[in-house]
Amino acid sequence: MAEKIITLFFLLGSIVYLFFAQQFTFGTLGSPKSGFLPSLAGITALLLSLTLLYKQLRSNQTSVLDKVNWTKFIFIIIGLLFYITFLNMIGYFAATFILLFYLFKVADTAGWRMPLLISFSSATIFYFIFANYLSVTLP
Amino acid sequence: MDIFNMLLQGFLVSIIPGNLLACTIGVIIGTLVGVLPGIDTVSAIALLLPFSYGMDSTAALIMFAGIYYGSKYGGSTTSILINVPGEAASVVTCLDGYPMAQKGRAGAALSVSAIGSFVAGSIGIIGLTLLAPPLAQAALAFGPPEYFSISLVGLIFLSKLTGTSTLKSALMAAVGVMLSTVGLDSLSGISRFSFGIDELDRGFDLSILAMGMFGIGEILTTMTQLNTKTNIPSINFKDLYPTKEEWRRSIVPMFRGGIVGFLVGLLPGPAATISSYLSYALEKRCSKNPNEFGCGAIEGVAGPESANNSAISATMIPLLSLGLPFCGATAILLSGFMIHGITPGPGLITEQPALFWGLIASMYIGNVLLLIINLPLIGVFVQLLKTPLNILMPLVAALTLTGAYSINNSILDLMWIVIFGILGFLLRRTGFEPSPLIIGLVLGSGLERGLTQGLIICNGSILAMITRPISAIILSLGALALFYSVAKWISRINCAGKKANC
Amino acid sequence: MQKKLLIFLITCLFILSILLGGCTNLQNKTVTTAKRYPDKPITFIVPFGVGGGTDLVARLLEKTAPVHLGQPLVIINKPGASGTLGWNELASANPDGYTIGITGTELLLQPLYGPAKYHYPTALEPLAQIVSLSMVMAVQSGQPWQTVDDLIAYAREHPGEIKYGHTGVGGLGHVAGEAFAKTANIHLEQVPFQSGAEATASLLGGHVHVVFLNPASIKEHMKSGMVRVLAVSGEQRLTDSVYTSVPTFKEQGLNVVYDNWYAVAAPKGLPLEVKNKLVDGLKTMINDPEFQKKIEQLGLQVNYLGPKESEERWLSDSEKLSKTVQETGILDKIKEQKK
Repeated sequence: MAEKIITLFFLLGSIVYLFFAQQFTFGTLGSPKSGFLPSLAGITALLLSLTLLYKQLRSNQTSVLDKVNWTKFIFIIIGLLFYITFLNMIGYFAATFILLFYLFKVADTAGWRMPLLISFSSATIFYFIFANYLSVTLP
Repeated sequence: MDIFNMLLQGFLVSIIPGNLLACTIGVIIGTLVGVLPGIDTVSAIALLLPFSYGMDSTAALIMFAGIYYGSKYGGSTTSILINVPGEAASVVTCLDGYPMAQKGRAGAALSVSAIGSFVAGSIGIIGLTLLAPPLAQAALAFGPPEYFSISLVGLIFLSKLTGTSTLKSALMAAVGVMLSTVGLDSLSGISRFSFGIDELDRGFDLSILAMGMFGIGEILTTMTQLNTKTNIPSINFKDLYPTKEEWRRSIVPMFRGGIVGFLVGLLPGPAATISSYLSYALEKRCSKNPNEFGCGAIEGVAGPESANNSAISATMIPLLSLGLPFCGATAILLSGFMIHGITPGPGLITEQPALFWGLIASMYIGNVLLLIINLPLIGVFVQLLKTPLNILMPLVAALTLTGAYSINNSILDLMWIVIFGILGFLLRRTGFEPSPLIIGLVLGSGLERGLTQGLIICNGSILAMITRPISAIILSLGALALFYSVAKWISRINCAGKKANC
Repeated sequence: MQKKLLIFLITCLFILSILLGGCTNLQNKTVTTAKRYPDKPITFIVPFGVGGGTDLVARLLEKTAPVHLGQPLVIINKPGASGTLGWNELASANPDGYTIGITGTELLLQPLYGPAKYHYPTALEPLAQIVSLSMVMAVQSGQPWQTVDDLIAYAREHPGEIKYGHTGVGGLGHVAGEAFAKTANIHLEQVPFQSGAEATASLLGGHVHVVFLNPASIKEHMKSGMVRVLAVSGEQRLTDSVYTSVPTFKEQGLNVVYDNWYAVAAPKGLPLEVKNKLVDGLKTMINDPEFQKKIEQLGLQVNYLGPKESEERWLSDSEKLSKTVQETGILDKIKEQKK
């Protein structure tokens, strides 16, 4: 089932891509312009995903997928988005520290002190390596 | 033997304590850069450029070169141990390296990759020493029409490396090509698919895509497993190093990878990445049991790791003998040269022999140093595996994000990494392989540029493009191989249809 | 049960913060520190990747900044879209003197080709011009053409056969090439490349016949005799010893004068005191002989212009370029890529 959804996603994606690619002149085979490769690639992707979808709909194989803890998945994504949003606002060190602690808890690390300690020390180490030794400009 | 004399003098230069120290620092930094997912060679050298102002020129250049080839030694470490590539050139190592680690053969994989890197790196440097000028001239003969043929043939063959379904891999490759068209196009001067978002004009960076799909994707997969297995079966000392059987199987791939990587490195583009893919495809084709690839075939680690190391030496050839950088890392090296007032080019060998031969000699020394450093570290790294995954994964996530930010200082890049991570996660669950996407991204731009430039050069005639000698050779080789594959496929279908023993 | 409640609460908090974070705009803090400028490090935006020409020049400035400006420069690379990404950020920054950046000729060309977020010549004000360099036209030394006239004669006999390489459609090399073709009344085909190195490789391999490039890209090859430079596109000949024997287009009777320059700029509206301090500091830094030597090592040429002259130059160059781009059909060519 999930397979078919992904294929459908690519199908829709290639249709959208082709739609936008129409804005660019195609040119001729002798003198391709900027629409040439996008249109070709889009059409190829479209055909491939159609064929794939057809094959999948015909065969009734259901593949057994690993069970996934979807709640954890959502939590992790939220955590990462939070990190990205706030990176510029609260600065690198604070954001990384919070992110690490949050992810440790999501990953079921027991207790509070250990994760806190590791988050703190890791954030410090990363900060030093990147900001001082490599002089990356971190927010 | 004039070259031999010069080389000997070069050794004398490179053993000067200052230069030796620079070499050691360089290779250590390089290994670190390779191991840490996120920070890549180009960023590392770029960040260290200002520091090198105060250093003596030869020492500075030796250090930069050390970082450059050192990073290819370290990149395989995280690929094998946690299925997160340290950099784009190590993506292919994940395919067989990680399954080997899961079977408890992590030590073997790491040793083979270190030794393979050494062997191939040495082959590459020897090639550089002896063949630099003629090879450089040969590289010049490749023009846009040839790049087009290479990209086309590469796209068709390198997309199906692993996995089950050709259709799915082809779809991934097509999507990769589509992604490569996003951004400001220097061929036409307009920006495509950027929807008014400034940041999209830059297009999708290879490292961002690789780190997102493989790095974050892997982290998501591991962290969301219901039964989080804590770690990989413990390893005793005997398992740290490869068995005789594994040695036997890896020797030839090492040499093959070394030669393939060297040849690919002469061409423009991300040579190390392409050479590792090519070596993997080659090994799979030459292997007696191709089905083992993807489940822990040691050739699949030996070949690609060797290839990306010798590619490095090869990319130095156009840089040193012609002064032309063909890929991002050599461009940074060129800047490093120029900051110290040295312009590499045809005159370099004659005007600055001490520098040139000193540099080459230091590459030999550096390779030996790397081998000495890396082998014992294998034991250390394998111990790191004992870290429970629920601590390791968040650390890797934070590290990847930080490294990614350091490339372009862009928050949107981080956004893309997360999105590609989710995509990679979903793709893996449903049987789509992410690696053809990377190949599509890399070769898509090469394809388009080769086609557009080539057609202008050949006055709009595709026929002229195809019949240029080098182009024709590449295309016919590609066509032959394609024909062979199709024939095999047809015969397999016939076999299955007749249900006969074949 | 308690643990689950806790996790739920934290999640809600996060979601709330994301929503809030997305809605709040980062406020522009207008701090007036003209009195004691500069009292914190100055951000220097380089709109190109690390290691590129502009980046190297910026890093050379970074070295001497603490002495002459009083505060270190913090270089931030914002590569992308031929520099527009970085320049957009510069133009939208607070004009308090703490954000400046480096600019190039692309600044004038980009707005001509399509909707740009800002019209750079009017949104930014130049503080000092650092470097000015003309383009060179080169051929492989194996080719029979010794002078520009030879090339023109050949091109007249074989229209459309000669291909010239440059580093990007709409870039200065392209403009110079097309202008040359128009003035000489010949037809050349242009082949775009992504970098000077690629174009040089193609020239040496014989895939293109001519290139219009930065002199730094082919200096070594000129020295070793692999290429021959037929003309330079400046008002005067280049001062670099390798190129002094090369005549300009003007000397040979063709009105092709285009220079590539790098300048330091800031968003418009700087308070006068701040601006003066920056201008004076930059003037000392750029006229320092040590700095000039290092610039020449990179293959560039120092050509200092103060803020007022730079501004005049921007406007006149902008006019000239927009005229050329229209006349030679480059503008149409780019516009027709989009239906």
